[in-house]
Amino acid sequence: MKRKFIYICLFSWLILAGGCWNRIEVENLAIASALGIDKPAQGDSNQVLVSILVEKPGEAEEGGGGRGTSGASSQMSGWVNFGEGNSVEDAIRNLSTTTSKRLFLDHSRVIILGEEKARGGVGDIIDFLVRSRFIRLRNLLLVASESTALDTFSITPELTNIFSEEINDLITLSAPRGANTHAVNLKDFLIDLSIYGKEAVLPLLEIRKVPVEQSPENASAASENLQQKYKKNARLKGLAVFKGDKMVGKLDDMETKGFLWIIGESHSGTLTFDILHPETKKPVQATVEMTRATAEIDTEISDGKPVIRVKIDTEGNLGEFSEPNIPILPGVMELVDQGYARNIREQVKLALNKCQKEFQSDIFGFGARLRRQHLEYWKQNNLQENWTNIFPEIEVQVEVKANVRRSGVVLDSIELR
Amino acid sequence: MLESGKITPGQAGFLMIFTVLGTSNLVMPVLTSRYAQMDAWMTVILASLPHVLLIFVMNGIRKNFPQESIVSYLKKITGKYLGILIILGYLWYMIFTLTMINRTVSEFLLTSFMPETPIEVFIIVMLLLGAWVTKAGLEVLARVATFIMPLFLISFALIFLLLVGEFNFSYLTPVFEYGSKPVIRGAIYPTLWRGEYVLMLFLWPYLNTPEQGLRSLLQSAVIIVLVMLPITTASIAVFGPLTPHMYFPTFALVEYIELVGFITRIDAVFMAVWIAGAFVKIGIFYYCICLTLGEVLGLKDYRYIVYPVGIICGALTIFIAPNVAVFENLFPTVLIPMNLLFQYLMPLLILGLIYLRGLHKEKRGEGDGV
Repeated sequence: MKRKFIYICLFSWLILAGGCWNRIEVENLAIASALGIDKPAQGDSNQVLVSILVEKPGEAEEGGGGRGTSGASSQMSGWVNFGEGNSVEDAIRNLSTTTSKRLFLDHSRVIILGEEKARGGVGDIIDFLVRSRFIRLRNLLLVASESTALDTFSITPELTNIFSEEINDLITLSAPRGANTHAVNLKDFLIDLSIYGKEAVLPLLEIRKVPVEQSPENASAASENLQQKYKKNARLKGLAVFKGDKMVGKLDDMETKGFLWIIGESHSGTLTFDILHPETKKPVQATVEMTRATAEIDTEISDGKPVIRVKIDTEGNLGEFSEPNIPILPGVMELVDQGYARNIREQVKLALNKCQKEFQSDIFGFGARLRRQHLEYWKQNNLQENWTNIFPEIEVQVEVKANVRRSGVVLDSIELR
Repeated sequence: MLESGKITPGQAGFLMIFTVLGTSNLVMPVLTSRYAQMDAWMTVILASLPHVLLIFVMNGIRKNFPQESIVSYLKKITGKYLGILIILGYLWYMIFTLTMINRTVSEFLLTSFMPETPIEVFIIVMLLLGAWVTKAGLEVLARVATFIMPLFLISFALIFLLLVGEFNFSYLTPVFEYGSKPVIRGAIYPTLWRGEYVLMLFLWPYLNTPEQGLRSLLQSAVIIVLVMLPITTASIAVFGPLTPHMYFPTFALVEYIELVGFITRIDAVFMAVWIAGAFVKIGIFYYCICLTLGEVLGLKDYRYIVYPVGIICGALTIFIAPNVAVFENLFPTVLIPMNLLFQYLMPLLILGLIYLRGLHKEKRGEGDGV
């Protein structure tokens, strides 16, 4: 019994020893919070430029000490580093020659692709993103509009401590309120790339330059260095449209809204359109706050050709009129309803036209829908190969049911003298 | 008989659930969806047919020899030498399966958690645990299974509940996209995993009320379907066409869980529970190997050979494949023929022989009270 007890005591020490093997202390980790992938500006085009944004432990008041930091670095709490390599994995290993700590990618939340890289095709980096156990499928993907991922890392976060968190919040919390971007995480992107009859989209991230307020003392200093006058801001602007693994173009705000209507991901936002004043017959601008929207995509074969039916059902509340003295009568509400539906239809048409005629890229997933509903037809016509050729000529019927239910806290507005 | 302990039919059911789910929770969605694509969930149901058949066949066999172990009655049925040969075949099957399980679990730990640890560490640790529980006996093994079972089942329920918001059921359609053939092919693997119920041939004599074994095993078969169906469906509904490409899709599901911003990265908890489940599975195989080998060799106690068996299995686990590609290739090339032979064909043959040679109870005139 006593011997047993001694053995148990001795072996229980082994449990403590377990943590010693391959131990990595937290303070020896460089925790990357965002990953950027670019095409190198010069040199071999087969190479990739990988940049990382490392969270600095404790707010870094001493200013960004790293490379690639911009003028506004004094407020940055992240450190940007970049490395080139023949593959992503290689580039990340090369990064370690300039990173004094062990790079830890598990906690990255955002992956940014430079526009040039996206246009050149992401096929060569996808395998890394699938295979690496460090890259979580929850990572949000974005394309840096007209810039590189490396540049976007120099954006100063204003409301959060670090850029990646700001982007994360921007996409998941704020953007749905405006209905002009679409959050895509790595899993969705990979599925879009591999599924037949659907092309991928990624949100675009634009660097917006905001002038910094100048106090008279340093105005002269600022004029010497023009860059000092601007602060970089992140802005989500539209969507990047892919065809296969290559980015082929961009959707602007209106087209993005149209896209979101079709796929039923439009959650809130405002629409502005003109209606005719019931008495004076002059155009009056009306704004409607969207409260609810659903969309249904139906496919049908008529005369041996696929026809896509999009049914959009939406409700909204009256936001404002550009002219106060409009009576809220059933007839007026009907006008608003019609205008609302017309406006949605216009946005949808914009998105459809652009994708069908210009990009020839089925980002709506009509093909995937057709395959689900009419598998026989899909197989007979070998649409697996042909869908991209047929898609531009597909007839898409859009049916919008729009209802404006409420009018805010007043019925008729006050009358101006 | 070498084992003096007795377990209840319910405990036997638990043991068998672990035998199937211990590793199928990790690999099954990928093995089935590789063939059946998005119809993989159907394979779970399809595999139940041979499964239930096997349970009835085993019940038919043991009814005729209620108090005897398989080693002793096989000698009566087929003659001494052929009987020993079949038992040696079963031993080979069990040792090979044990090494496959051990390798799967070790690879899982290696790729998902500790890529820099030598694989030998996991193999040795798992086998030492298996040796320990084997030495403790069948009753202890059954109690361990009973203890882990609620945690194990809760872990699957949690995956389903925490991810239900992410499901996209449109990935499940169109049903039968590539016809029914791939679904039937895909059902082979769950059939093989369920076929591990064949271990009940070795354990059935140790039930305290053997006549209730059938009922409890059928219940456990239902539980397996109730676990595997949501898990497979969840993998497909979340990962869609990515499922066949993942190594451990259920684990990827756990990694994907993110709820209200902070319930996230809970993979280590699930890993702990699943490794405990895999440990029970290893324990069952380990135990059956030692028990049967001990009886074949005519030992007084099977515990003498626990460590030698462990050394053989440990070495085999490493030698079995130099890399993951070869290891994956073992599933279609070795596992399918071997398992079909020992899990389904052999019990059927034994049952057939019993009736052909007139060894069933009615013929022997002993009557059958049960």
